[in-house]
Amino acid sequence: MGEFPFQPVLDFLGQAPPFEVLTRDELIRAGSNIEIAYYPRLKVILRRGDEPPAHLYIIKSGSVSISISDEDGTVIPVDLRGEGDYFGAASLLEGKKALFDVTAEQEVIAYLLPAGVFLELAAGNARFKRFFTDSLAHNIRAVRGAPSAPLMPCAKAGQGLEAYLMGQQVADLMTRQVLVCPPGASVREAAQLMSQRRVGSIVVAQPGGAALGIITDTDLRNRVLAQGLTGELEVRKAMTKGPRTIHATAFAFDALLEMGRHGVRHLLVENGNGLAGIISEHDIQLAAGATPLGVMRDMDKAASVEELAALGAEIRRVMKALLDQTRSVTRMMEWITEMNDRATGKLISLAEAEMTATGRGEPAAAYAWLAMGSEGRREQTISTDQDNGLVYADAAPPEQARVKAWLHEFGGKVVAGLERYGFPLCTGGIMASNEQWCLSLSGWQGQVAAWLENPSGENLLKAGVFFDFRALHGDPGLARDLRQTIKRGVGEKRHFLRFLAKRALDNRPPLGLLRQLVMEKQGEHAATINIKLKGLAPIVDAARIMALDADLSVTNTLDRLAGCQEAGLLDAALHADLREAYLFMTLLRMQHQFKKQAEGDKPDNFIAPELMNNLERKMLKESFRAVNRLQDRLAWLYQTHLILET
Amino acid sequence: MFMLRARLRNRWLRFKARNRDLPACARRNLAAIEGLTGGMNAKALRYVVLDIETTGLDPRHDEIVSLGAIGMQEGRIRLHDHFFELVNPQCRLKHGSIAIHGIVPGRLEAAPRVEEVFPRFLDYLGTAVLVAHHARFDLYFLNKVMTSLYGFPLCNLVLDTARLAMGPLFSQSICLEAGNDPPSLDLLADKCNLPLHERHTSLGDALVTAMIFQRMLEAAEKRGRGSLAELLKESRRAPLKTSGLFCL
Repeated sequence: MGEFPFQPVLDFLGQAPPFEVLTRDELIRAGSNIEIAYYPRLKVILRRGDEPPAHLYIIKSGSVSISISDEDGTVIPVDLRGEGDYFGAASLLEGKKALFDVTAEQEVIAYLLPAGVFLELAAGNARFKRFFTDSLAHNIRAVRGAPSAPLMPCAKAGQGLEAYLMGQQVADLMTRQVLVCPPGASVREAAQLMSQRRVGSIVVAQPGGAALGIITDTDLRNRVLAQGLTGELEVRKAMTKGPRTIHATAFAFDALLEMGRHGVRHLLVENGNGLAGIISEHDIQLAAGATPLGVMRDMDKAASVEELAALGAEIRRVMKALLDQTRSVTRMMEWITEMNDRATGKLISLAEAEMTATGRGEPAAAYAWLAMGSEGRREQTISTDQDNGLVYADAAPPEQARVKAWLHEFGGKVVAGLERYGFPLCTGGIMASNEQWCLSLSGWQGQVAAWLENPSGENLLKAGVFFDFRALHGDPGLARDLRQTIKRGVGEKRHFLRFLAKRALDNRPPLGLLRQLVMEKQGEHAATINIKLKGLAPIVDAARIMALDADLSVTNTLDRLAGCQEAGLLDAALHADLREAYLFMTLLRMQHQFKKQAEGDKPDNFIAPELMNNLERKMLKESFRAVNRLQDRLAWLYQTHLILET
Repeated sequence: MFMLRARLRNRWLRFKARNRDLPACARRNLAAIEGLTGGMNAKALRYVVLDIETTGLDPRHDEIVSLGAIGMQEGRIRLHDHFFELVNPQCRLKHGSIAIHGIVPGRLEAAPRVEEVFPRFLDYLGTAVLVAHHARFDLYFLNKVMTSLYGFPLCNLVLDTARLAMGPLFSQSICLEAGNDPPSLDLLADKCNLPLHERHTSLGDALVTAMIFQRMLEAAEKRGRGSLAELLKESRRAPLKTSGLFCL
């Protein structure tokens, strides 16, 4: 037969990420066994629960959606796969039934690799296999990012919730001891029984009969106490009727989906012979690890910097699990900001208490703790160093000196605490412990005026960080006054915006002439892209400049972009694209950082496009293109060419 | 209806060949439509999608120079199930056809003769339904060889993608204007957004034809007309003049 006559097939396969690690012989082995299939639009290619697929599917052209649907026909989209992506690997490797529905979104031509050949290749080439085992985790992650998925438990360190929930059945996690009371019993009796046995729910049923309903702690609170009713109320009036059931052999994962779908926290478990137990969201949470809320409570309880710092690792772990679940970047940034705000707030009150305890007394004037930079914008990811400062009310000179000394010492304590907690010190010295960043209101007003007067590189940088401030603790009036100062100052010195814009244009997105991704050429970051510097910073900078122009007080980049659209500085299409681009690039950055962290490396911003799938690469290019358009807009709005190169 | 005719014809051929000493491959071909019924789901069958290159377009004087075919089953094109051979023709190569398929005479001289290649092809073909674009052309050349070697034409059922493309089952789904000439393979590939890889080699063309036929199967199934009989009818519904020579 001679050489393999379908070279284009090999060329295509060889480019698809999992196959590029195959040797030439292995590739030919794969290629010569390919079967080409065609699916018209909307054709269901695989159906969830079908026997394990007989092939690995590689998309030659077109795209498919991966989804799950429940018995009511509600479809929960999970993922979209496009040219060069594959599906079906998870079921093949696990020998399990299809986990998802796969539907052709557009006409699809797929290359099918028979299961036998695929498993043989996977057995013979560890790198090849790893691609697919990773994608298994990715699939499960994606499911839990589905819109209906409830906010839930977090993974145990190093173990991965996905693997866990995949493996655990409801029977493993349920409470076997089920309390039952008749519908005519009083809620007091029910509550007494629950507290004796220390459980959070009780099933309502006639003796020997089917379950009529369920009463939980929440029901007792909401339907009895909050209504002003007494313990004499019959349970039938307080119960949730028609409780949902699930089979004991179902996966914990399905139980969570079921709960999320019906908005309940408890499911009755049946095993064919009747009621076998009861499973609650809490059971799964307990089994799977900590919850964000639990960690927050621990933070509030921390009585020393040491205790708080000890929670740092736990918090990062919870955050990682949270990202795995939600895949919602905005929610993720909110969580991180919330956690960091809480930690900072806690450190501030600890520092205040320590000042009092060591005889330094109360703060002698009103002050406000300013979070700046990304924290000020509420868009922190896990690896951010400190950017903070203090502002205090002006007082008469002798008093002023005392206030200054107090705040300086206080700022030092908080900064040190933040470092212990896990925020590295700012290399640029932008911290409340630095005298330059701990000023009275009039001091700040002078500083802002000086920056506006002299828009040099250093000043532009500092002003940029400072302009994103947000008062995190203390007197909000001071922060308001400061914001007014900036607005007024910029209003008078509009050319300052031009300098800011010029500087913001220094970082162009890495797209080549042919719109290909341009990666770092050499050094330890070769073949990567600095996603923060080249992709995110240009958007953040441009949003800040236009927000100043539009006289906005908000500091969050997405809020700023929305405000700029309202003010007419951005058209709706560009705004929509930028929003997507910003969210997508932030997601890439977060995933990368968590991955680095999990591998024990220091999180950085250097993402490797070769580790992405084709769809992600395409989206990244689209994102960069949006940034390009934004920068063109910026250059035009502020006529940056009028500034001569220096 | 068509199946009945095919069966009668097959019966007649078998009767004629009953006393002849035939090699196994030919004997097997005589039974090619055994077990096929019009009601069968067309998608489940094995097809061999074929294309040939010839020394020229004149069926009387020109000869096959390459045979390329690819197998299909369950609607999937199976790359390992392919056949590709160059054939050393007995007549001289004309320059025109070299330009099309790019086979230089030197390569053909080293190639086996058609008597050698053809039995191998018959073994490969088996009892599959034969599919080709403008099937009459390919069939004429194949049957010339078949008849000279074994005394009867190929017994396999044949579907013609050019004609299927004209029929109501498929023409709408690719927006072909009705009433025109049957579309060329290039035009069809273009309408289906298929990349023309390695066109004008027999195997490359066979692959493109197979990918088009794949869509036809899908379209027929979608309209609830996915039986073998429906496809045969569609492929026979002749907007062209049929020549008795090819269709018997």
